[in-house]
Amino acid sequence: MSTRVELRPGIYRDSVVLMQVSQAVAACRGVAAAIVAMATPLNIEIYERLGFDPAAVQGASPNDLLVAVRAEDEALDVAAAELERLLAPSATSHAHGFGLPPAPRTLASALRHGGSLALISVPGQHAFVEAMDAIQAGVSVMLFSDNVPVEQEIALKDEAASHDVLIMGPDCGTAVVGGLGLGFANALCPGPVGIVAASGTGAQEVTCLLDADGVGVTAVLGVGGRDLSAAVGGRSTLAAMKLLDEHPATEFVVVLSKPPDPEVAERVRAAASRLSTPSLVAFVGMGHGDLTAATAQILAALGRSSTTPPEWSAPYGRVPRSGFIRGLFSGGTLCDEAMAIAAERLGPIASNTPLQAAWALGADLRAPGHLMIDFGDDRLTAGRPHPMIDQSLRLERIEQEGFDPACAVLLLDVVLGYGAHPDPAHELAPAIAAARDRAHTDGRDLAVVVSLVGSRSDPQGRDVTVKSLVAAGASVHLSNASATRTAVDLVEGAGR
Amino acid sequence: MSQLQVSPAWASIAVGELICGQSQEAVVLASTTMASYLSVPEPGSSTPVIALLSQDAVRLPIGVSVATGQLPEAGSTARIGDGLIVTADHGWRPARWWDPRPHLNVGDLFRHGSRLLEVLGEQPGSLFGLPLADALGVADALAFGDVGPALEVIGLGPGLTPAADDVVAGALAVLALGGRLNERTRDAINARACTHTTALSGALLIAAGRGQVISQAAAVLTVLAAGGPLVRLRSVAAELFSVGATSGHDLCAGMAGILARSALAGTFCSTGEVTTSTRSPR
Repeated sequence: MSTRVELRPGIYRDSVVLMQVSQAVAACRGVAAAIVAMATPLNIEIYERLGFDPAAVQGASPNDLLVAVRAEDEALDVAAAELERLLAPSATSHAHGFGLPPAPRTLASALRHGGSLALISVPGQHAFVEAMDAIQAGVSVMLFSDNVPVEQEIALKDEAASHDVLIMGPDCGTAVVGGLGLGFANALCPGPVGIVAASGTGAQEVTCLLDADGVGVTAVLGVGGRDLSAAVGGRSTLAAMKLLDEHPATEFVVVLSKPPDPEVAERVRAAASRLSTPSLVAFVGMGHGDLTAATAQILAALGRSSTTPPEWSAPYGRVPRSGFIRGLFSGGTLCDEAMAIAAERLGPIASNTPLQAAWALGADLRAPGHLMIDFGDDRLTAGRPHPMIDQSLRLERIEQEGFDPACAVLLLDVVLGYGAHPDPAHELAPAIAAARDRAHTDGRDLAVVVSLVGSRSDPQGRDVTVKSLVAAGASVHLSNASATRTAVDLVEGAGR
Repeated sequence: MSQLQVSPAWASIAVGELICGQSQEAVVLASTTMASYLSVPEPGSSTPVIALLSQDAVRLPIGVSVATGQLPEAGSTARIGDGLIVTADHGWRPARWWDPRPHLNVGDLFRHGSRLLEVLGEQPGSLFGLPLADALGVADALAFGDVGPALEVIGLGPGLTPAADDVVAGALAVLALGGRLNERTRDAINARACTHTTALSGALLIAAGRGQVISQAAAVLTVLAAGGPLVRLRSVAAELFSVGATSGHDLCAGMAGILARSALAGTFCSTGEVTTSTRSPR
């Protein structure tokens, strides 16, 4: 029996590789014992228990690699050769210290793999540097991050123009590029419509309504909610319109935004009139049309007759009831649209994102009358995921409204698609049913109206979601405007 | 003689004192395609090892991330100090710094912390360097101030960061973040780390005693503290599990062992606000 013991400084192999080497060598014919490990005291103790000579490792440092094999004389060379083969860097796939991460960890290393679009989602204070690096590398950017100062946004957009690339955002949560949904996006069919959107959930609502009528999209290019402000001047909107105009598969260009700065609105309309592709500029909000009306215009322009957006009724009576609407939204644009529609008929709607300053909710988010809360507002998402992903705050509020005798109608949005909660109805349906039961115990018939943003192919299953919500007692509408009008109908004219 | 090229680097503040202090000679203990580990054997240095990391490497709490220049070979020497790391043919000067200690609400971390064990339990046992039950036992003892089991296992495992050390580091980090790591425990671990394990692993243990961890572990703790959904927790935990062969799992086991001690919930004082990137789709 012969023994070979070595201490090798500066050699590193991964833990699992070392264990595998030890086992493989120990399994060689004629080998009695083998250990390959860093020479820590505990590993030296194991070495000694295997019967190796302690004197041979006198002065060993824990930073040395301990290699020890005991085998029959004729087998030792074979075992040693096998050991060397297994320890050679080429024989291992884990010679990377702590291992290769699953994906590139920096933008610079990601760009080395090629690509034409960078999706950047880092805290706002770091977004500028990353986005600028991508633009200067000739890559278009979807900038998911918010809290980017406006002067940085302008600088990024000017730099993007000089490199002939597009920057979507900052605060761009939705895009569809090359058939791929990015951020919060629905599973959509290819089709003739190209959309430039300053509103993420607005774009999702329109594309899902188009989907219900069998019309798909070529692309949805988000530009960020501030792009059409006076300061930013529609820089990305104008660039995106040009891109879609040059895109051969786009037969119709849509620009979708809340009412922008008047001068910028004129600039966008003028640019639209110069496009070679037919187009529609749809500003939605107070005093303008709604998203459903804009969708009908798109369908009409395409020569399609639009159908009434689907709705699935709950089994409660459509009779007016005393009390108020409590709108609990995850999508900012959907909340804005609902407030605009409801305020025209009901007057002031209190909100954390109010249409008028005088209608602002306090920090407790309470008001005696009609109110609508955007749970996706920055002040409510600090330290937690967006409510399209984490519904916990909204679920708590639904429960509380079940106890409130002033609440006659709950108006909710549910957004399906990539990036959103994997099964929102699983949490919402029991909460809705419990709130209705609670109200029923108090002698009230609490109506629940849901505005559902979802396509027929969304991963959550649109029809399954609808079924679950209706079974819980909700009336479900694919049109947010229709859902809001239904809610308004239920309280309008009733005694308070 | 050509002028030495000096490139910018991004360094952990854990090694700031060493880099910005008096210049000292360092020896390259080990080198891989992703990292070189430089040891400064001078007494009095609080962090005796610096990891010079390629951009794609896991960001160790004692790391300096570099984008250009050849990582030095094992056995070669370097100088660290005066704001520089200098090898035979290249120099790096940290231009940006990161804090490897996650900033989170400790009360919330312990309130939601037991969920980590649920995610960890979904992992196959073969992915752990130290059996999960053993790891939880070591962490459990530390949670009650019993340092004995941890001292017994430091250095156990074949690799450059032995599996047991990863477990102890995870447990220590959570205790330190919660303000519950007593000096006696810390001193005992630090002393053992200097003699019973590799220099790199010892340095990582000392960093863990200050609440300093790799970014993947920081992300898991941050999501836990924010009370994020399980699907999000699984996602960031998967990133941690992908670290090393077993290091991510073992580190996570140590963290989970402490957090599962829900009896500790509510006894921790807050050390700051959760910092999570959020945005508002409109």
